[in-house]
Amino acid sequence: MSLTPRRAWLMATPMLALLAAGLLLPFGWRSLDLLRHCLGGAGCGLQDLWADRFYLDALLRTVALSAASTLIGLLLGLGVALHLVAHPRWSRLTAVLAGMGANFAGVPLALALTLLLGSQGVLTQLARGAGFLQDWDLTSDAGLLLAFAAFQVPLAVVLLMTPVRLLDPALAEAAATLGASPARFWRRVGLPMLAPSLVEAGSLLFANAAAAYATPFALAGTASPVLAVRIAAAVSGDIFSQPELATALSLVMTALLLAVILGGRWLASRWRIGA
Amino acid sequence: MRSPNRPWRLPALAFWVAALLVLLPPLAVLTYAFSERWDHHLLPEGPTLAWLADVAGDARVRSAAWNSVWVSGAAAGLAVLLGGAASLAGHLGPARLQKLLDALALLPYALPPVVVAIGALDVFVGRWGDVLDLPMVYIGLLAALLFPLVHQTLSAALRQLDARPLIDASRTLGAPDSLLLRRVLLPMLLPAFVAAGLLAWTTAAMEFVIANLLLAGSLELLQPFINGLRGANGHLAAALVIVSLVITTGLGLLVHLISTWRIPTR
Repeated sequence: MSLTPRRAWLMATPMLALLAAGLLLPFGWRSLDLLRHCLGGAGCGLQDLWADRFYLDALLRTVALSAASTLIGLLLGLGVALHLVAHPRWSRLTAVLAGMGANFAGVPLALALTLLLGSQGVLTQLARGAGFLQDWDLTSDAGLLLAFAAFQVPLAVVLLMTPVRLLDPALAEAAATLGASPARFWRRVGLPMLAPSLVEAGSLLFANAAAAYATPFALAGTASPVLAVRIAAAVSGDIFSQPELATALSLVMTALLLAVILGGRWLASRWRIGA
Repeated sequence: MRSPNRPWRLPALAFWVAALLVLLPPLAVLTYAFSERWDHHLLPEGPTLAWLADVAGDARVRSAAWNSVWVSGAAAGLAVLLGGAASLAGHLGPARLQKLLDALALLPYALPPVVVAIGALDVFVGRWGDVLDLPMVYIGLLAALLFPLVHQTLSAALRQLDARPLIDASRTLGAPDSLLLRRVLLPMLLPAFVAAGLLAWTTAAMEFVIANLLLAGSLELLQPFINGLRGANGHLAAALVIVSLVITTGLGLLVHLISTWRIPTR
């Protein structure tokens, strides 16, 4: 039996149907519902978005938190990948630990950070005894950034280890022979060559942070000021359910993530062609 | 002026900062899980295995753990079965199908689990909740979200295998594609299928948001259970986190070994 195009499509149909039914149908259904309400002239959830600064603030905080944790992830992840080029014997252990770290998010991470840096955390008490961290709050923006960095950095290591390793070592050797320092080589040659991989990794890291729900929810409950928690709180909130508002927020988040992911891929492919 | 031969210290600094950031949280949970108290000094007090014994003896823990194992296992199995078939069809079939699958593999990144969860709450619980079984809905949603993981793992393996010349040679010799698939491609891709399955299983077992919003009250899974347990008994929650971390890291190690066990190149 040969795999004709028709048979290939038939083979892929169950997964395509599952993706359509599981991901596209519920999102599309709710979005169309919202659109119908908005076009019908009656008030719709989109107006609630900018009725006060509450949701706009959550959006801006999510963008800022995601961008900052992406930057930290890329800087440390790239540093780790460069260190591993010089010390390859650490690569295998680092890969396993980075995989574990990227998965150690959500509830386990919140528990760990509460033990270390919560209001009664061992490091908080130690620092307070020494006169530091007097106003420290793990649920503040700085606390959330630390929590996000804890799962973004290992993911960045996973994403960047291979592209950095695959960079032709002859280039670095040639640069060293010509008297360039490693820092100069990476600034002038290595990083520009890695730019497409960095952009792709950055867009995935941003999407990973912006979609994070479990970590901020486990740290600060429904009061957490990030968009993902606000979306869930709008349908399962303590006071009353606002499904239209949740849909409007979902649309904003999906548009943001689509723009970041597709923009990242477009930019990376342009740079690859131009290289 | 800086000498070219002077060692560049920034990557080493980044390496150790990252190591601290990755290792400190699990070590803190590990310490808490094996101590009677840890709130007075830098060092914990009273080493104990009591919390671990309590975890093993608690019927609710066993039930939540078993639920997580079978639900995430079923989702991973479904994702590997359907996603694997789709990936193979995309690679061996028309280029348009491959492009569509590559694009759909990005969908779970653009539609975060919280968005999927509230949509599913409305459609699958609010409208069709009477006729649908919630754990089955959850398994289906997880399998859809796991598709990129399966597709990327198998696509990388197929690229490494360089399957196209194999297919062309087999067709030139008149062998049916089903024979090529059964006798050549599937055996060579078996490590990639196993790695994708284990990776999908551990990822599904860590899922929190959809389980919390969709299954709350109907089926208790490990992650929401640990979150509830944190407030009641942090030591017990820590012991449970350590047990699941050991299992997922063990499976991660297995995935790493399988992935680095190279597919034979020709």
